Amino acid sequence: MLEGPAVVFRGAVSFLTLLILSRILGKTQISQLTYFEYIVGITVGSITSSMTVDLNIRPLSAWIGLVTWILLAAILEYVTIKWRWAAKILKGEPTMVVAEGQILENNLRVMRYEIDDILGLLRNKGVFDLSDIKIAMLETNGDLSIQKWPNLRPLTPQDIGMAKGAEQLTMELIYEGEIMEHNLHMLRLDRDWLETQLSSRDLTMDEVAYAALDSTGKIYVDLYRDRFTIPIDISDYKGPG
Amino acid sequence: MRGVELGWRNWLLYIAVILILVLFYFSMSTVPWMKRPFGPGEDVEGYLDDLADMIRDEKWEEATRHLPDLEKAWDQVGARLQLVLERNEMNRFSFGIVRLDVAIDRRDATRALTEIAEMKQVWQEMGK
Repeated sequence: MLEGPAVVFRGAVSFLTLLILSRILGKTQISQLTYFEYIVGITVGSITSSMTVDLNIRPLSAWIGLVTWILLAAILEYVTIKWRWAAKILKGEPTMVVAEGQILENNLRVMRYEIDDILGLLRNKGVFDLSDIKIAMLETNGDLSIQKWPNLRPLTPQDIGMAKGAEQLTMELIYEGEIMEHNLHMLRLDRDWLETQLSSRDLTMDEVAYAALDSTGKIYVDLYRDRFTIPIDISDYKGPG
Repeated sequence: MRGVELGWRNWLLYIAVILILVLFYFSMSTVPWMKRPFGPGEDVEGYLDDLADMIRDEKWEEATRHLPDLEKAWDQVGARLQLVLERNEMNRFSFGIVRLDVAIDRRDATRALTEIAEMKQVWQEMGK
């Protein structure tokens, strides 16, 4: 028997199933996954690969297994969003590991962390002195969140009484040479206005690769024909290419 | 606060997604349908019955001539069955044909009928 068609069929079905069902698992980034979610991801990947290349497994059994795991993960996700107590049990909750510059050893023991682990995480955050910390919390995904003492926090515009106006999103006007009519419409602008703006810079539509309007009303324009005053080839080794 | 309202396009998308998943499920659970002959010369079970009759009547020459028809039918049906079956199930049937070939060649009726009975069992169990 030729195995190729079977592998292609199984691969296509498992790929599309994973593509469809992973959408219902939300947009959690890998860095935000809990340990359990990470394991679920690995298991789902393993079932998918087995379904594709292990011809000793019936595709239907593997497919049902794949769908079951993803649906259970989605149900778990839903439950933790709906019921706070379930989230506390299933995902855990942040744990305070440093309070007023002092390490909470008991909490570290419960989390099975060593002092060195916490010091390393603090250094990653640019903190080398424990006494700078008012509070440090270990999040459920293993990240460390810190709050420094007020006198050690960076100065903000509010601290010096500087009022800042409301900021808006930068809106794309041209993308890959194509005018974003929808964005122009939302900004209550039109194609004529855009052409006028470009012609005031001695540019035509055909020359523009990307253009955007920022919240201050300034237009950023990038051309297909780039001009540089600094070297842009940063390679210091002449390779085969 | 108002929740997110789903437009008809979203509902269409959800229905399409569910239909795709249902289609996948049924495409992989169609073994009984795939086992049926789609054309002349694909009736695997019929060939097995014919061979069993010939062996019982000790028509060995006829059985020898008839066996390649079974092999050909299995090649055709197996080509589509392999998409939804595990390899072991396929191999059990293929190896049965090889053993049956030897039993017919040796004119061993007991062995040949045993092989046919086992192959029929494998055939009926496929996809269950």
